[in-house]
Amino acid sequence: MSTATRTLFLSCALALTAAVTPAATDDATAARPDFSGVWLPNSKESGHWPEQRPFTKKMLELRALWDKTNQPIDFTVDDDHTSCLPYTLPFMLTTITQYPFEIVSTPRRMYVFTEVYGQIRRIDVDAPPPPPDTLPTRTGSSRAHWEGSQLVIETTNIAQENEGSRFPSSPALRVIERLSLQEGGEHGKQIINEVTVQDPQVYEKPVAIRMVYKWAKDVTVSEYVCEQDLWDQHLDGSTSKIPWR
Amino acid sequence: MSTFERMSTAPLSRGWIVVALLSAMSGCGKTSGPAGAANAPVAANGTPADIAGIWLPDPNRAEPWPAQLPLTQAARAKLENFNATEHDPTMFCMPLGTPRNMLQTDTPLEIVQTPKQVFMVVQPNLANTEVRRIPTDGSPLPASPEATWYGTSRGRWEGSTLVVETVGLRPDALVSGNGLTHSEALRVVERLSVQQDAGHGKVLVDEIELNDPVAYEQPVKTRRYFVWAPQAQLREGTCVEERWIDKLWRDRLAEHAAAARKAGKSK
Repeated sequence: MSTATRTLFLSCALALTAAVTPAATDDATAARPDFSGVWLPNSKESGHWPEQRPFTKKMLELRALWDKTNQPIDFTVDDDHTSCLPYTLPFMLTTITQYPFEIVSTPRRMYVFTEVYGQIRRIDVDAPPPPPDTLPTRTGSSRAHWEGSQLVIETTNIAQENEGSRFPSSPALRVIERLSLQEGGEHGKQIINEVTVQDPQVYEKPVAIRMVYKWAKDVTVSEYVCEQDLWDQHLDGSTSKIPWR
Repeated sequence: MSTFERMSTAPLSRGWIVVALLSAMSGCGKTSGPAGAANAPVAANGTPADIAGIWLPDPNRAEPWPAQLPLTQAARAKLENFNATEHDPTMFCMPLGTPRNMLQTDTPLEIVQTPKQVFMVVQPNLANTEVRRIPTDGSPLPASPEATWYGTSRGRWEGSTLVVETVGLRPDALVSGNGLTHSEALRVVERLSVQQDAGHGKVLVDEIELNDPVAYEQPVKTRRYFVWAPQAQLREGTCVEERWIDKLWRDRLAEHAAAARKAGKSK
């Protein structure tokens, strides 16, 4: 399957998030779940972005201008995911894909290893805020703290998506996740992730999406090399389709 | 200079500059004493060492390859005919793969350690992240795993040393950027231990043995040193994005050149 086809078939993306093993010893500690394990987005139970997103008037104008300037787009060529550019928050949290992700909790940091694009989130628990000069990245800078049995993750410094993007953003983007563990049911356990997207330069009001990730007990997160086709074509002696050459 | 004496000299890149700055901050840019000098294990016998954290390779201490590698005829022919543009997968944004990602000496290493598994995260030149998953739960290596870039690994603790065996490695991956290859029969055995070094503090030593009867007439051994760098952070990066940016710059330069030529003719 070509990269493009594979990408089209993923209705895409990633999921994230996290868990933790804090050092505190108060009563609240007993209620703090361990989110470690391999998870898959639950397409049946997860919510969706609203059909009509509450874009600001300014953002609607910018998107219209972008369309006028750039459309039509040939998505077989000009698609960021077809070009093997990985996902950005909050898209990677709220899209449904068949690819698993693994959460690994360590005392001060929770890691999320995603299979698609092999992305990694590093979520620091009870850590000071990121330095003000931190450069933006697709997964941003994440800090977490516990509120009872919920782990609350706040992510900033997220790389900006332009106004033509499916999920435009500004440097003010702030993604809040509230993770809780739901025991029992068909999958043994699930993570509920209440995602709130705050970006006053893009949306008139915060957007909330409730994501559900089902435990994938027997699944292993595998190696994922998006650009593999390019190398395989080269080895096969096919005409090079490498777009940047 | 033999091919392999040059091997540890990696081209500078933005990624390496960042790492170098971080390494200078952490005091690990100093030159080191003799390799493997008298160092006591940090952990007591029978206790897994704490190897979690960020480690920066010390190219000055990378053990040189033997001047005469015991290559089979087939492997030697590949080495002699090596052409990086055609044969190096990283030219196509492919991963370094294992064991090259441990040998390269310009790739920061992040280790995530839990009782049942160890993750080794390598990010060559801030390009695509490579993640090695190493179960340490006593499960056996599968008999014939599918060949992948990072292979299939199992680890076990021998005292405070982590012993990692890796098989199922893609034969189109290189062992070095100078064209040292391996076959699908490659079995990599690594012994990772932590030392306290007077000059560097905590140092992770990776003794690497390459067993591959198809490519090497006898096992090839070498050693890499990584200095603990708690202040360092790995950042995300994507190879294709850098290539795209390079192309956009080239296109724009070409446009400017064409415009300048046109302007010159119209005068």
